[in-house]
Amino acid sequence: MHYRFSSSRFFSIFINLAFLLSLAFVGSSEVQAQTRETLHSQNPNHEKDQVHVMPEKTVDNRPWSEIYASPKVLSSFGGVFDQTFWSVSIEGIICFLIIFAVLAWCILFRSYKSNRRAAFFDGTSKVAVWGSIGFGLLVFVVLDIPLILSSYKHTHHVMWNYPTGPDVVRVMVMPQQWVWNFKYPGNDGQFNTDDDIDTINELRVPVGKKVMLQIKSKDVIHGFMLPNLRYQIDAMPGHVTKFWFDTTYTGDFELACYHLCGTSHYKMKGFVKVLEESDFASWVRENSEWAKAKFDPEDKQVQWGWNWGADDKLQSQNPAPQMQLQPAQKQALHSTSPKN
Amino acid sequence: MEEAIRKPRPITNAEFGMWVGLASFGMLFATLFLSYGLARLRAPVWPPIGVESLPKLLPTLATLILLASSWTLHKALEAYSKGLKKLFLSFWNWTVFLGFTFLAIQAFSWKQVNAFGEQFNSNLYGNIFYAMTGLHALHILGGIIVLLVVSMKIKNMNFLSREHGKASKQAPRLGAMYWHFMDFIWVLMYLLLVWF
Amino acid sequence: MTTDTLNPSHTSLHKDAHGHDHHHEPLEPGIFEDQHIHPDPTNFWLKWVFSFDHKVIAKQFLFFGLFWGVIGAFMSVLIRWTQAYPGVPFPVLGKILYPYTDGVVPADAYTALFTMHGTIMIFFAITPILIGTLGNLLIPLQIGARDMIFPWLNMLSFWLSALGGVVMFISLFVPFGPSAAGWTMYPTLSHAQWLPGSGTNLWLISIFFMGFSSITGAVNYITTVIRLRAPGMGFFDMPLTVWGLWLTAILNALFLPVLAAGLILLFLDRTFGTNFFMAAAISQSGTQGDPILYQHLFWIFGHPEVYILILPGWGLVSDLLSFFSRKPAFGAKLTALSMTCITLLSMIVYGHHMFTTGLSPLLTTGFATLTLLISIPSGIFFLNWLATIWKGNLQLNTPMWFSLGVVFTFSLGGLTGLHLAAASSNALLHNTYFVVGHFHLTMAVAALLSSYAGVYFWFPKMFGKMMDETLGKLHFWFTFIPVVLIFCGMFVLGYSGMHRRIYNPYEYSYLKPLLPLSKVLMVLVFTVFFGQLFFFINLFKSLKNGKTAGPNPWNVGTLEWTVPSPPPHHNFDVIPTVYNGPHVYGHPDVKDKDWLGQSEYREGISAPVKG
Repeated sequence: MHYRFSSSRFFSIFINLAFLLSLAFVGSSEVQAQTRETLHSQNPNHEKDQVHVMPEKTVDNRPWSEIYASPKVLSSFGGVFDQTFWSVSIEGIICFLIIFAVLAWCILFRSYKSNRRAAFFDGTSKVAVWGSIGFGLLVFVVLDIPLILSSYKHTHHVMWNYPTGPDVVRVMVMPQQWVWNFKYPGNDGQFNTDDDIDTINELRVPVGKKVMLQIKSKDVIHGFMLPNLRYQIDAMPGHVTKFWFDTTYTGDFELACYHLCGTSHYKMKGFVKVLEESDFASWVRENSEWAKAKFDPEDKQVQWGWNWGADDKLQSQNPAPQMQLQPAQKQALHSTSPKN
Repeated sequence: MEEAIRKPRPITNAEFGMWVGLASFGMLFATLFLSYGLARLRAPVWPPIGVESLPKLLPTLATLILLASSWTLHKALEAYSKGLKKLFLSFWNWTVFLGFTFLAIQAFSWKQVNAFGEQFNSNLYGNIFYAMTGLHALHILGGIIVLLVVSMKIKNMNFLSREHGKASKQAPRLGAMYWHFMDFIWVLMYLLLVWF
Repeated sequence: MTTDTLNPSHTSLHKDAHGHDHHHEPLEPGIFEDQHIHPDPTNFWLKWVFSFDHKVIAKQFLFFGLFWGVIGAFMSVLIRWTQAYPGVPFPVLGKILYPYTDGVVPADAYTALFTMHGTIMIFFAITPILIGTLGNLLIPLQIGARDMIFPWLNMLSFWLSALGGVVMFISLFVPFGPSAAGWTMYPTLSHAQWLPGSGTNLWLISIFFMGFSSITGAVNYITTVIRLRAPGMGFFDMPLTVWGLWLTAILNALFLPVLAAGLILLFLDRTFGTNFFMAAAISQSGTQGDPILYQHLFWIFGHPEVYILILPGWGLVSDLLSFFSRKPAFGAKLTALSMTCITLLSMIVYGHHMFTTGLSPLLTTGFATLTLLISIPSGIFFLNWLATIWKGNLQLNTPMWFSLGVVFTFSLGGLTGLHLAAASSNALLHNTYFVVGHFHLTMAVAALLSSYAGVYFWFPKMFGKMMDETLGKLHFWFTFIPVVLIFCGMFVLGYSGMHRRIYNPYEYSYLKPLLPLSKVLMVLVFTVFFGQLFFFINLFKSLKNGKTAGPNPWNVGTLEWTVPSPPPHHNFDVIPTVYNGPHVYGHPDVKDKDWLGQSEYREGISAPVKG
């Protein structure tokens, strides 16, 4: 283990490296300063433009349980997500309280006293070993297995049980830096024709109907998420991801990008407008006619799209039991709710 | 610990460490193999339409050269354990030479596929070829440097002296482990890329 | 069984010209390369800079990690400031850092901040302190060895980290700023089109060096633990700290190369225009790459990485809870096996980071189930922890407080893992602050608290001085309470829908009402940031004027406490023989004291020496 080498050799290497690195550091700082100067002289406000401002003070009179919770559920399946969340939370809180109780007890009542000994047991007895293993399995059976089963049932319904039939509203979604593009098939019911409706940052859907989305990103990964739906899906370049949802009341909601997509990721806000069926139908009709009239074959920007494929006729591989709408949600159908 | 001494030539500490290191190197190349597999599964046809498939001659030649270098390495170690310094150095240097030859063939191979043009070079098929063979070649280059260093050490070493530093005594065997492993990786790569 | 531990092999002994014990070595040496005692290095450079001594390397890693930890923590202060006081210039330092916006953090700087915060804390703070410092210091000492088995490789490991640190430091000052695609560096955002400039390339190079450093360290740790354990020290006689460090090293050795491969492919994509992860219209050729491939490769490494960051902490807390309850670690063997089980499981659960990418039903359900299986070993060793302190005689000193803090925070954080493991609730919580709260409590806070526990506990051994207890306890409370509240607050933010990595959440009407909570969190962030001053003041004060520490100030039985503080260069004068496990505390048959050293033989208690 005795290595002969020259310490002076190492020293000289070290000094040279340090010198080169400091050169690099100074050099790069200079370049950075120059770049900043240039950018700043070209547009003195360029950095200021990217600064956000303090929002105006608003008074929010809602109870805390509403403010500090997920926004009101819009989808028919959202309530089950909430149930899962809360049941796991309560189980977790109970476990945590037990742990905390043990910690608190030991700290308060078993602090060091020189005239006493700790109880001597080391957990090597058969009872202790099998009891510990049994405890671990119990945790799994009590906490995890119900979670696995409910999650399985739920994810099957939401993630893979794509709706079919003529009543399903189909929309193509193409997020890009930093807007949402939506495309409707229009009056002819076919995508990639001249009467397709293209909107930016606005998704309109009829209340109570199922909406099927196919999502493909134009550039980087984005995330399509409305907390009201209780579900999200990533938008990939090169892949089509699929998502379906339905709505139980009308209103306006905000769509956010939930996957980092660059500097203005935070500004990538869209709007989801849930309309009455008749309003939606007339909107589609009018705008489809307008789009057909204004169709310009040279305008390649709006002619994005892909082959929708056989999703219309697609059933999920493993059909799941139908999720029951909660009675409250059934009642809430067609009634407007205050803006979220 | 007593029992271990009676077993036939137990593995030394440095060898054990080298095995752990080889596991790491193995995971590196395994990841590339995995990526290759996933990319290939996704592609409807392989090689993709319009892309020439990899030539067979040069890679096969490279494989043979590398296998030969493993053989010369094996003979070198035989000589080493018999204490035959000159024979050891001669086989060892043959291994280094064959290693350089391998790299030269790889360079020619790259030149050959580069001539297929943009279709190949910018396609995932070509990219994977360059990435895998390139990373492997870098490791072979590192291996050659190690072999050269070992050869210098052994040349200056008095074979019969009681020298400190067990690592230097074991260096040939450790270097050989690395080289054989890189050879093994190459054989897998060659079979996968060229033949399957 | 020979007791001549300097030369356990059976060849004959000669003294050679240098006066070293020596024997005829066959050309191919056998298994027992004895651990010679070498003279101490005298040259300053050999002693303190290019040292082979694992204890010096440990200290080098410690100061490296603390330096970067402060930088990373400051970045987190800036991040929380933008969330709590949007549009308000950062006090004092704002105008220096961001002159063109009058001190307000701009949006592009924000993306770089959270990227670098994550990268720095993981690779440059926690890894060097928990694995670099504690691993290097403790593995040889606790198993009764003179040094690591490959000291030169050990030194290389530190200097690779140092080089990585220099490269990353430079990347902070390049023209387009440091890398800004999140520490996960997902393509296609991390491709050259969307993230131009050398910041990301330097990031890739730096992480490559850090990974290489960890791999060489891991080879050392794994081999040392398997090969250099003192006579009588079976695997289950090792302290659980060593178990944690050893399992971490196994994960490091196997999975860092996976990250290396992924980053190499990303580097090729950025620099040579390859298409490994490039897709859709931007791909130059017909055959498309796949951004999801990167996610797979990254998380095959990424999930074991989070266990890498916590395993040493689990091991050391298991030991410390026993030491300071003055009773054995309950089910120590089962704890070690549970940690092993988790190590193995961690290799096959990575898909739970990708539930929203459209994985197939089989993969989604499979990964969710496998992830939830981790509850079983976790439950077992949690039970063991609680049973360890139950009916103990708790010495509530600083290391013990930090250990108890780990139990508290890890349970909080770990339980929220259930929400995220199930694919259904994950769909709501993915990429929200709920995830941020979860991984900070488990990976950052628990690892941080265990690092502090380790530093306070082993400071006397490293430096021969005791740290101040009062400052230590103040440090604990000023750290523990704020961080728990901060990250519980983040659970609320996450459930309310606040997504992560956003510069201005208040663009969204459903997030605007959360501003007051962010302001409250800011107060807590400042408290914990300045609370670390207690630690640094304590550290430097104790280094200068701390009370001199004896060899065993804590009355603990593991082997490092049998040598002077700080230990001599060669650690042990005579390699000890181990007769007991590491947790013999409060044994009823030991009447004169409440602990027993590992190399202390007591009739009727100590096992006869095994092979």
